[in-house]
Amino acid sequence: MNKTRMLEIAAVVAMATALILALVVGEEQTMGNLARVLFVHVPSAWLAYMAFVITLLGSALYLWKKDLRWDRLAAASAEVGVFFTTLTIALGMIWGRSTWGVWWTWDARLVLTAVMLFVYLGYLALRRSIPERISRARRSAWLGILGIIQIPIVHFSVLWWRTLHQAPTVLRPGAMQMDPPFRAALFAALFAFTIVYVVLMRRRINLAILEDRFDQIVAAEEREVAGEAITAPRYEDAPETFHAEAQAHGRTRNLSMMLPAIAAIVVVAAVGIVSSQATSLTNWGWVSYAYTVTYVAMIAYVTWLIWRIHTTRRRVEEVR
Amino acid sequence: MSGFWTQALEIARKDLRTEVRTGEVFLITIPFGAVALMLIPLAVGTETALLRNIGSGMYWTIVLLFGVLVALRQSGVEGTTQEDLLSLLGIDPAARFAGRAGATTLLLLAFELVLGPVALALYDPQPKGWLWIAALIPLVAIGLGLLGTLAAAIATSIASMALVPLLVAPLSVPILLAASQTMDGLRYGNTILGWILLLVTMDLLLAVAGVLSARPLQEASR
Repeated sequence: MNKTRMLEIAAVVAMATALILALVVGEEQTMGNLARVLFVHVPSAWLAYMAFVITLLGSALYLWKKDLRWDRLAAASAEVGVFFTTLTIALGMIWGRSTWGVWWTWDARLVLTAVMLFVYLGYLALRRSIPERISRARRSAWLGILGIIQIPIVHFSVLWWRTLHQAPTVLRPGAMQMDPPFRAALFAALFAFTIVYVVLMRRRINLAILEDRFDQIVAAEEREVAGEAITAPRYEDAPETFHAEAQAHGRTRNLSMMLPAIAAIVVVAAVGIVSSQATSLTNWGWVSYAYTVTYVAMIAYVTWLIWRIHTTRRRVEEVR
Repeated sequence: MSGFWTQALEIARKDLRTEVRTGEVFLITIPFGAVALMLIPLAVGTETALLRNIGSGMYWTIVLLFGVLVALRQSGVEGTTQEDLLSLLGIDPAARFAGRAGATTLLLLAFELVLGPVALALYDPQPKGWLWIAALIPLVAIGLGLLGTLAAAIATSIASMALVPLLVAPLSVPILLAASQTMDGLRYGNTILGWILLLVTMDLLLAVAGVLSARPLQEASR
């Protein structure tokens, strides 16, 4: 059994354990059962922060070491971070609807989290707009470093402004404000989400390696040799195949650029449409709704990553 | 040409001379901004109390969004040939960044100063603390100028130039917040030092990032 498979099994077991703990922990004094949404919403937000911090580290290390592995780490973490940020917003909307009675409110934390999402969507869009690997890595590294400005502003926004969103209870100055059973369930969920993050990162980095390999092969094939005087060695039908493959790959990459945004819109729209039909949900109804969104989103993202890896691998094999 | 500041000044002068010849900011962007300020009340309602409340916020939003156009304009001025010429002349990339950011800042400052009275006339926001506002206006111009120049340098190719607004708008949120919260603070007598400090910190961070990234970004475009 390879490492990725073992990690995936560990992620499933950890998520199941976290789910059981989240369900057996007692009711919260003020919010009752609704507080159980905390065990998916908060880890998603933390993982989003962590993903963007890793993007920062990967970007800085790339600029220092000039090793494309760090660039791949930064890019992979940014995409996974966008996924977790979208999930955080979707779960926050469900929680908001069930507690405040509205899907969206102009609360500082909500707005700034959405702004953070756009910063990293911009980062992903920038990467897709630059075809040359080294130029792409250098340019996006600087944006990866600049983007980090948003994280402290998002996190401390609940302290700087009087907001509807509650103040931090764990990552805050001073002692933690949470009873031990809740804390245990929260840290179990955080551990499970972290393993999911590692699984997603491994898959995403594999995909980045394959994409780089494909770009390398296509670039080598298209490079001019001694002006136009000497013909580079080619397979008989190479030009057409390569151009067709390059175009097809370009289409896939364009599609993959749009898919995180489309997925985000679909998740938000699905949450909105289904929930508008279910305004009279009980607290348990809202909780199960939030957990369903979490698990469906994770499974959908993993499936999409596997499909992209499979497609890219096939293209690499065809052009090689 | 020698000396960092001499080179930066020459680059800034060149950019400003181009602006004097084309008048893009003064003849197009500023009137466009003024039209936007006029259109908002038509959409949200023309009640005096409402406009007084939203006036300063709308002014800073327009400055931010149209500031992106100013940054885009200066990056559109120079093509690959001009870039290569500057490199062959031995211009320090950091000086080039400083010069461009300086010129953009001056243009943004002019933009703010012309639109300020327009916003005052249309919205009557009744601002207080003019001395603080006098300090706030250049700080915002510097922040937006640096951020726009940096974003334009990151997205240097034509294909990625369309991305500049997407890169600048979310990253300029701290500047927008600091500017609008300072105005609110002055109006309602709240403390504003924290917001001014945030603005100064942003300006310093962006200046350092711009100078440090200038050479690697120039090398990346070759």
